[in-house]
Amino acid sequence: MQLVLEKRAERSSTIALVSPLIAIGLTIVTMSLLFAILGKNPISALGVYFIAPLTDAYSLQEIAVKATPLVMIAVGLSLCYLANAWNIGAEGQFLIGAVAGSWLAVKTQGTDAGHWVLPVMLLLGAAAGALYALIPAICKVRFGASEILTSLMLVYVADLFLDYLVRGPWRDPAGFNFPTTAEFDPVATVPVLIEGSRLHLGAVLALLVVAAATVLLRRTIKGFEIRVVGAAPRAARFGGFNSDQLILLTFAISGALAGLAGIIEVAGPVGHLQPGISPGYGFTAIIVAFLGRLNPIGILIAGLFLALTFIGGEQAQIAMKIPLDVTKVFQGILLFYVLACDSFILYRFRLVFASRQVSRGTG
Amino acid sequence: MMVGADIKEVKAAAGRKPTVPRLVVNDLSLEPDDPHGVRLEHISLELKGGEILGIAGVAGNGRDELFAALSGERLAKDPSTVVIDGIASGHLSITQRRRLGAAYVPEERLGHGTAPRMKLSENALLTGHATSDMVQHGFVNTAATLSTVDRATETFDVRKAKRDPEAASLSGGNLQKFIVGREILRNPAVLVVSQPTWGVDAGAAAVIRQALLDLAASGAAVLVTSQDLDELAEIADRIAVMFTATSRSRWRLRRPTARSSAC
Repeated sequence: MQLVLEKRAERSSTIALVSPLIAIGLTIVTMSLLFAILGKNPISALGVYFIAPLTDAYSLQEIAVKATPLVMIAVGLSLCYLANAWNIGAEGQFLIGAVAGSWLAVKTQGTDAGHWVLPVMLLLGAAAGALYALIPAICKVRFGASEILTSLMLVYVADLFLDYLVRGPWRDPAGFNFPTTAEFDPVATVPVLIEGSRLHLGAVLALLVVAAATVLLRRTIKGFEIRVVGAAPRAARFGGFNSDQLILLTFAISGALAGLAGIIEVAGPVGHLQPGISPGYGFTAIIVAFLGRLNPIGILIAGLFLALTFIGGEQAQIAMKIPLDVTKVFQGILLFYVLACDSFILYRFRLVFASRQVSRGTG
Repeated sequence: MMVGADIKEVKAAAGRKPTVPRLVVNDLSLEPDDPHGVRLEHISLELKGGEILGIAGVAGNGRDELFAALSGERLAKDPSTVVIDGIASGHLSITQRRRLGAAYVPEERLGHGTAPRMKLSENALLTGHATSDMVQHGFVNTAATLSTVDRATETFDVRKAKRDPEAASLSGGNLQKFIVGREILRNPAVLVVSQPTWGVDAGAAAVIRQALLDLAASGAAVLVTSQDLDELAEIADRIAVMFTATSRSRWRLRRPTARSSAC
């Protein structure tokens, strides 16, 4: 008797819909085991992670604040992944966008600059992210270099560059030697939507990005080109679509969105530039993109779900003394199960019995 | 024949006369772009409107490379190597050649002629986006793409499970009818077809061959590459042979007066 993995005759659409849910289910089971091993009650731990943050208004706002960069970056990444261009460097594009926008904030610090500062900061962030993402894209198109490696390596470059700036030229002189810039002026800060909360304009921008991406992918010819180039490259070439151009375009768009998310995060919730502005948003966004099946609406839901786990993780740290790193473990296990469950869309298990039994039936 | 329906005899229109040269290939030579490819050397042919030229030969004779050179998937250095309706096109992309009135049906239905996991309307958009009303100001007009699917279905008897299924769910014959149909519905000046009825059931094959004859009768120039000599005998006015990638001989074909009975 053998367990065999065989290819399906055609793509299973039931599995395609249900796979993220199965993956979440399996992750919850695995996490329960993990909590039990850590000596914590699995039921109450799961409650603190998933249920408790949904129960009070402050946590709900925090989920929206955390989901904003995740959704924005993941939508950009989904365009790349649909075109078979693997942008793994969104984290670096996020940081470079933050740096570029912060440059203007630092430059106009203390001067009586007008309200043009914030919009220009956002534009600078997006533009810098786009240009930074074009580096691995051009390397891929011109030299055939693996964009996975180049984009990932550039993350470290961006991280260290940011570190240098806040420890050196941009450090707040009145900041007691902490590696951070001075607090941004009000004109350089993202406005808050509700008085007294941290929910800011970035959340609205994230929703606009989701809407724009939905229209792009479903209704425009460019969106069609992106989808075909990834799904059937030879057919795309036959249709006259230039895959090099689309790689450059999708990298530029995802870099711009990551950079925009970066400057919004710095000019909004954080308020100044410092190392560690990102708890790995650029990498978590990859999980969000796949959990959301590379579909903008799916990404919105997946982003909110993962933000929920971020907030749940912070609360579990206080309520049950569970280390914050467990959140990262959860996200990693979730990605693992999502990819595993996705393979059942195209393949299935079959039990194959020994051939001896077949010959017994004849004669 | 046991196909569950009558297969109509394929008939060419009487009194078809070739007109002006619509596709001319001048001394085309092309290096292969993959290690197992075949080099094209000094290929020349001239195809007038209203006639069907068949290129016979088995796989590996360079017909894939010739198709790529004619379609624009591979560009030639000299623009005058491929001339479509009088315009030098060797350097033009496939979209630009389609704008000049050329249409192409490649050998591989799934993966080259269509994106297998995409719907028929999206596959209609694949080749029709630059030359029809399917795209307006960058937005896709789904009504236009669906109407192409409907027209192809009706004119070429495409059998399918629903109005707009995935390409991969159609049988080979029906998918080929759709692919040939979507190109013919564009009223092309030049149609280049590779292996039009390979792997296709007899009924669909008859429909496709009749469609090619009708297209030529309406004044288009049709180039058919096939390894089925019976097929070329049925529809081609002239036959050329490609043998290890050089165009060797051309025969003028006499139309057969009696059709052999099939069973």
